[in-house]
Amino acid sequence: MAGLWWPTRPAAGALRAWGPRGPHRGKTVQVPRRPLPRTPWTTRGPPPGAPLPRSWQDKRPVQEQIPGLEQVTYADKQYFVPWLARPRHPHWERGWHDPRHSPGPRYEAMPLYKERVCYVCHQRAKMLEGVRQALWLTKTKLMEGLPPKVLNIIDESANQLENQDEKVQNAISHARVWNTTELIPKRESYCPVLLEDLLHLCRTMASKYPSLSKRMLARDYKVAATWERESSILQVRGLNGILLNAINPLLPVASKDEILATENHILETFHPISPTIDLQEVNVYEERNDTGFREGYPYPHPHTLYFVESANIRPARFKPEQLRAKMLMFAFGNALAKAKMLYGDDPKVLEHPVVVQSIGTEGRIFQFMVFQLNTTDLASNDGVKNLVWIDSDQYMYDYIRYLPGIRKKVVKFPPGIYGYRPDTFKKFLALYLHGAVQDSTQTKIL
Amino acid sequence: MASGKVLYPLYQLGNPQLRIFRPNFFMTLVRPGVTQPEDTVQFRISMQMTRVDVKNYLEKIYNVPVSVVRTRIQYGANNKRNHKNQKVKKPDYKVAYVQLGQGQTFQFPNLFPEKEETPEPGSVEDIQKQFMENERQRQTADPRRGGVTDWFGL
Amino acid sequence: MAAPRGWRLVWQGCRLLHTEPSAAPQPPAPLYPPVVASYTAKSKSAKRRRLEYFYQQVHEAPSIAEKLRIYGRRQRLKYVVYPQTFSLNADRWYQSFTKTVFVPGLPPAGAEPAGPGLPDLSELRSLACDALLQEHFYQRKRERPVLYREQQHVPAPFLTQLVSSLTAALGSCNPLLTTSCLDLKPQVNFYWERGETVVCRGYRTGRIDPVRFQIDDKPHIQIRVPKQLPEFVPLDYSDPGEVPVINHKPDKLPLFKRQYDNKVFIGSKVADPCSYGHTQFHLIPDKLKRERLLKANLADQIEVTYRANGIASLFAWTAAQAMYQGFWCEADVTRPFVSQAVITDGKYFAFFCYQLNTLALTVQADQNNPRKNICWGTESKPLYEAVEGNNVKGFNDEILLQLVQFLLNRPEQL
Repeated sequence: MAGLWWPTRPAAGALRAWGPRGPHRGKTVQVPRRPLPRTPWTTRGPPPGAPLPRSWQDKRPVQEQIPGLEQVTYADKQYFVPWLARPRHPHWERGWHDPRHSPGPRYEAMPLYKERVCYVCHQRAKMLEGVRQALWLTKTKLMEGLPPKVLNIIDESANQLENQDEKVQNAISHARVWNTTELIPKRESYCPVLLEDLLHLCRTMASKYPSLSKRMLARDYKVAATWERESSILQVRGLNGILLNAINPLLPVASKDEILATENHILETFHPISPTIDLQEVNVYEERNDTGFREGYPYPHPHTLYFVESANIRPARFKPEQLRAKMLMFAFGNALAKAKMLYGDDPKVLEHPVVVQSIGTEGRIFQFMVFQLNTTDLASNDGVKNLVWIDSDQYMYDYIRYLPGIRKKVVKFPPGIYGYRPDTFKKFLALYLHGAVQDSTQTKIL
Repeated sequence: MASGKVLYPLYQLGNPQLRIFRPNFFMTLVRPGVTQPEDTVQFRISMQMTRVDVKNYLEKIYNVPVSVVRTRIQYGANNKRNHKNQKVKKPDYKVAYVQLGQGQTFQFPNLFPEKEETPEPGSVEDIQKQFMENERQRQTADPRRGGVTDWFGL
Repeated sequence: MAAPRGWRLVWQGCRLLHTEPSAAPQPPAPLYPPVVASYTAKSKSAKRRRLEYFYQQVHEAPSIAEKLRIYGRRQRLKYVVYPQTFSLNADRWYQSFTKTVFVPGLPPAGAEPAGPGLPDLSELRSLACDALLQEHFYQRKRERPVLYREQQHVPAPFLTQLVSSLTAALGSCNPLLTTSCLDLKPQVNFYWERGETVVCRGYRTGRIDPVRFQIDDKPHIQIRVPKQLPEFVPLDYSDPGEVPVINHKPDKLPLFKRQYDNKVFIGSKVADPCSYGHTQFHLIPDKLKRERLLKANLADQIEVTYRANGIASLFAWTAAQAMYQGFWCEADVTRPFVSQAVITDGKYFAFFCYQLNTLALTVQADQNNPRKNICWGTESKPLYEAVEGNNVKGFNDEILLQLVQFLLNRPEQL
């Protein structure tokens, strides 16, 4: 009867009725499980008194529950034999504290442990509701399009480079086509190169506006900002993107009337989803407000944040909505840290609002944002709100053709950039020139 | 450090560093088979030595400034067979190439220079040499014939 | 049959001779193909014929990209030359590989091209000090950098910031910088052959083979421009210095062989309009830092690492630029190619200039070639003595001035 071998039943949830034949016969295939649906129980765990669902209950095997049925293991023999079961040894205590082999203190024993939970937004936090969630968390009112001050800079013809279109198209081709020895570069290489090239083009405007040289880029810096929002503590922490610092702060973009008008605006909620969904809940935290730079830094005011979405694989990349939400959260975090440094920790309406710009890209699609922090009083839902202008999904070009398209031995579609839109770089440049051009126009008037 | 099978003490965090004051290594200076640059000296060393050991050995014991040491292991072939048709292995050995520091150079000396032997006049070797030379001259053909053999003639 | 045909030919020839005396007598069309040496035999004439065919293919390539593809098509074992190397006396070896004369100091300063005015040194000094202090003091970073990644912790971002802000500030003085392209960590590759050797192992034992080299370099920052920089000395200038000749195989350096793609790349493909090089900035890696070399009693090798890096990187970049213009070892350069480099470890700066006069380094092309490549280089000097708190002590203005002069280098007509 050695020849007879009934096929094993396939694993639960498997996609096929029969398993693999050949050398892998008899082995169960690990079916990839879909992620669990997001409910309060799955994110926070069941409340203390409730009974657990069946699949979560502690299932001890029958051998442990009935005393006489324990498996015979080779633990007593102290050597392996193939016909006895594998023993599960009890946990061994070393007796002395070895720093190289100790698991570390438990969360409850750490000095910074607090009972109250804090929700942290970091650079990997992909928020479910996107910009709406970020607007509620930062008590902000959304305005579509860029503010009129920035639009004025775009319209002025003096604020353009020579051969701007040609230079920008060269920059795009350099990043997307010419940068590598292979045929097609990966997003991880072309996305940061494109941003650096565009920044280099913007910096060459320093010959026209000397105040542009009073800026400094900072990479790999960490920001920390804490605020309370309707009985939950929120924090923004960690590495975000490339920050352009300036000596002079950006002047407020909205007038006093617009700021006072935001008092009547009601923030959008999305019941039953909690606004703190997708933020990391921590019990061990320190309430810190830190711009990332020490006192006396010659370029104290944050000007623009640049975000680069350059993961190669699509699931690892942020969608445009989530990227905008991340941009808003970090712009707010930088502005809040700066405001608390300037005006103290007390929640109040700011007389001189703090303006921080933000640009995010994934190589082709650009998101532009101007954020104005009007108040640090964020605990209540009423009162003056902050303002944000978002210009979303600006395409710089439609697509790139790497190889020529040949139909019937004639080159019909030459390789290159297709669908180039010059407006996107004009907005990029306008946001870069925002603080400096105002000075020159004001001096011209004077 | 020592060549051969030695059990070194197990090092755990906090132990003092191992110091050996009288190693029983030895190094052999050899003539390189392929010509090496002027500042390179070639040694055969024990298989248990490392390049750090070689550097410390030369610097501490012989006061030779060493900048860099590179080592390799030469595999001894296992193809020769003895009278019982068993394979005989030539032993493996480690070779170290030492580059001297402070611009010093080294050239392996010629250990067996050719001596010009001038025998004393009147000794046995001198008379023998002269006799052999005379014999050789008698055996050679007449140079006036221009290399033509002696049986060729009328 | 032959006689009447011959008569007819002669009669026609006579008629031709009488009627058209001006036309030169045409040589008769060859009846048989030309008698040449074999193509596949194991002989020197066959090898010569194969080489000729290869050179003809490269000469007749329709575009430069195609030319580079055919030039590096055949893959064989080659020595991989690392510009940043721990080998002793690597600069002399690299000079012999690249036929370069090393001249200490900087090239003779040419006449200042008339253009927009000189920059304000105090502004540039404040920019440099701000960049230095931001990375050393003001920006909050990890307390201790990761092991063997200290250079990426502070010196690398400082260099990036310094170069980008100086380039932007000098854009008004040097219009060439406004049309330049700044690359961060680009790839620079070059493949060439120099000298011959006898194959010692394998089925090709005893045959004579050219010695192949490949440089794969990744400078920290690179500035490429659309116009070529002016030459420092004329093309046929023969420097009194000598190219060191080393009679040992490159294996003794130590240098190791590998076989992979033969790439020629300046940082971007041939289609890029910015195909000439301006300046490269290199960062000395952690394993070759000053402190480590001093601890290992290799104090004289500190300058050697700078020089080797300068010679190898600049040769690869300049020669790749020359190949991008269509020159190669059988079609030597008709005008000199010039590049500059700054090599630093965060505190000490060394400046290098390179002029490529000849690409013909193979044995066949180098037989009657009196030209040599020239590399000028300075010793490494500190930019500042120390950074204490929020002020920089002992800032050296000469280094900054030299850096500014490097960035202001431009051709006469723009």
